Amino acid sequence: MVLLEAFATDEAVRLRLRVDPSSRFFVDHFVDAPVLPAIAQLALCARAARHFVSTWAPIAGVVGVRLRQPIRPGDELDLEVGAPDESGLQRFELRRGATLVTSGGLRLKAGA
Amino acid sequence: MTVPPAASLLPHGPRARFLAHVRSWSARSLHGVGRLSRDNPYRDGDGCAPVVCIELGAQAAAALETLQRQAGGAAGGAREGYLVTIQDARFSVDTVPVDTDLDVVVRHLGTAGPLARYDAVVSCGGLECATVSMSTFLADPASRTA
Repeated sequence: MVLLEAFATDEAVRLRLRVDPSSRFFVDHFVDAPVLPAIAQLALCARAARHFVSTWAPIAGVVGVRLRQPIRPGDELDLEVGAPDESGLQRFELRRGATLVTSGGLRLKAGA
Repeated sequence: MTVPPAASLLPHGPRARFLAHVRSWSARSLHGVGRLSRDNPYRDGDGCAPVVCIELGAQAAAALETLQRQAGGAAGGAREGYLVTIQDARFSVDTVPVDTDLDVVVRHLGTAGPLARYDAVVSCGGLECATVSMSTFLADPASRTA
């Protein structure tokens, strides 16, 4: 991933990214039609979500994740990850232009 | 039942393939063994973030789909499929070790057209690492748009 822009408030972290066509995440996934794996997207969201915690926190779970569109090499994406709500859930959205590509929620381990 | 090699059941190339082999399978479930290579892109320090368990569960589901289809007399090998929903995934560990056998058990809960729903449990050395509820979309081999 190539970070193009980053912006954070008390409510959300917003990143603009370009998906590096040479990323190792695409290798063999799949051989002749590369798609960014869902777990690469979740790892990226978890990394952004850690902006709101003071120490490195492992991911505890995800919920309600919808992967609407495949992400291809070279795509430019906008990622928004919200601050934790009262239950610790952090909502995220990945968009390609106006198109919502992936959305859901994640939890980091409390007290980590 | 005879179990073909995992490579023949999945569309993934070797470096993206986490499912090492299938121990056993039935019409509704599959028990497999996963292994994360030391050079996989999800490695962070001594292990991988537990999100890898989602991919291992999805690959076990894809292998079961291929076996079910072949047992039903359909022609063809592995077909590309995509995770479309992760209803819930809970991780009991902070990291998952590399170069270590992981047990994966996946249950097929139902199918509606190209969509199928599965539950998966991934464990390591008898310790549960993750539970995953997910849905997959099986791509039409005539279409590469998905």
